[in-house]
Order: sequence, then C-alpha cells, then structure tokens
Amino acid sequence: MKGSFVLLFMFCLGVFVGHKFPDFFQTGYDSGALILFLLMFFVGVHLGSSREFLDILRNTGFKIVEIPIITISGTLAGMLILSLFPVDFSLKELLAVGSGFGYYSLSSMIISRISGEMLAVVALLSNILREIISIILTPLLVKYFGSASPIVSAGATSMDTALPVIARFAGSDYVFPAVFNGIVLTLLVPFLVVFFLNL
Amino acid sequence: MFLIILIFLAGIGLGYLSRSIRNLNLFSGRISFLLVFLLLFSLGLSVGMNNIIIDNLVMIGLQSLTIAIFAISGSVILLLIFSKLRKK
Repeated sequence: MKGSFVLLFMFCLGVFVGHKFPDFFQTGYDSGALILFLLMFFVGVHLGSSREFLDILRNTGFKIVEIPIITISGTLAGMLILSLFPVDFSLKELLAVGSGFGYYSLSSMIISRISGEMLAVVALLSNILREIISIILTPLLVKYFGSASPIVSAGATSMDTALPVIARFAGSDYVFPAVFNGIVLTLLVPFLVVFFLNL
Repeated sequence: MFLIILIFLAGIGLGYLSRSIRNLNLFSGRISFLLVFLLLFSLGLSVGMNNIIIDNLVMIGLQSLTIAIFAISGSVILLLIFSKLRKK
C-alpha cells in the first residue's frame, strides 16, 4: 500500500506542476507512447517469469478459476447496472474503466492513450478507490459475506497490496486463491480494456 | 492500439522462456514500478494543464467513487448468489 501512495503522490505532483507551470511542458514531444510500450513489455516479463501461476494451478486444480470468473462477471455486471443510471459515461467506457479491477496504473495508462485524459483520470481514481476500499473493508467483508469476498472485491490487487489483510482476516487457506485471482486479472486487464474501448 | 497487446504478449512469452534467469521477476517488477512512476507524473502534468478536468475534479471524484462501489458490489453480490446456488 505504501507504493500506491508514492504513485498517487507522483500523480498529484504532476497535476500541481502542470497546473502552475503549463508553459514548460507544451513542447509537443510525446514520449508517453514509448514509456507505455516499455511498461507493457516489462509487466509481461514480470508475469511470464513468475512461477506462482502454474504452481498454484497444478496444486489446487481447476476449481480455483471460479473466483476470477466471478470477479470479472460481477464487476462487468456492476458496470452494466451503473450504466442504467444517469452517468456521464457510456457503457463501453464504464466497462473499460471497470476492467482495471483495481490495477489503476496499467489501466489508466492504456485508457489515456486511447481515450484521453478525462477517462484516464476516472480509471485512475476509481481503481485506486477500489483498492483502498477493499483493503479497509476486508474485515467486514469476511464477517458478513464470507472469506472469499475480499478477494473478489480487491480484484487484481488481491495478489499484492490487499494480500496481507486478506491473509490475516480470511485465513491462510485463502492466500493461494487470492494470488491466483490477482494474477489472472492482471493478465486480463490490458486485453479487456483495449477490447471494450474498441467496441 | 493492438500493438499494446502484442508487446504485452511478447513480454509474457520472453519472461516465460527466460524464467530461469535469477532475479528476472524481481528486476522486471522494479522496472515496471519505475515506469509507472514516470507515466503517472506525466498523466498528472497533462491533467494539470487541462482546465476542464481541474474545474470538475470534485464531480470526477464522486463519479469515480460510484464506479468503484458498483464494481465491488457487483463482484461481492455475484459471489453470494454463486455460493447460495451451490448450497442448494
């Protein structure tokens, strides 16, 4: 969670500097695309070289895939229901933002490339909030909705920032499902975000 | 923008093939964090220069909170439905 605050601070610092000194940065040179491509590559290497995914699948069997399937369908269903209310965003934008599953950095960067800053900020904030709310509510979620509920709530962050609280309040039996859920969702974030924005 | 997906897949493939290299996982994680650091700063810069976003920040924040709540509730409610069905 400390990392999240560092990143949020960087974003806020950027907002402040950009707002106060807009003239410094309007040079027209765009290095953002290259950095995003580098990021995609290294996140890929990070996931590809992690041993946990196949190990967990081998040791626990295919029943474990239920949790990420529920996380994805539940989140998308939530977005579908939200689109019935008067909101400023179209269904495909909501689905793309929801498909961040708490992985705010990657999802907001891809969205800023494809749809622009406005939707990127919404993706950034809503996914950071998903992470923070899930972490804070984990004890209550476990108590009222069962031990698997903080995992589906945390989404992609169930394998890193939310894992310590999940392990503590849901018990060690839920560590493997949490890590597995996080890896599957992290893998799917780029695909789903790009897919929904191209609908 | 499907290039993003291709680069991502190339990274996964290369990472998987060279997973025996010591500390590759740690190293690629650190580099990703650093790149996110840069990207979030540059997103911040363009947001700071965009007065439409700055003027509507409270509204954007509330909408984002609503999205987060619907995303979390959707997942948790579906989980409850799923476990109720299983018990029957």
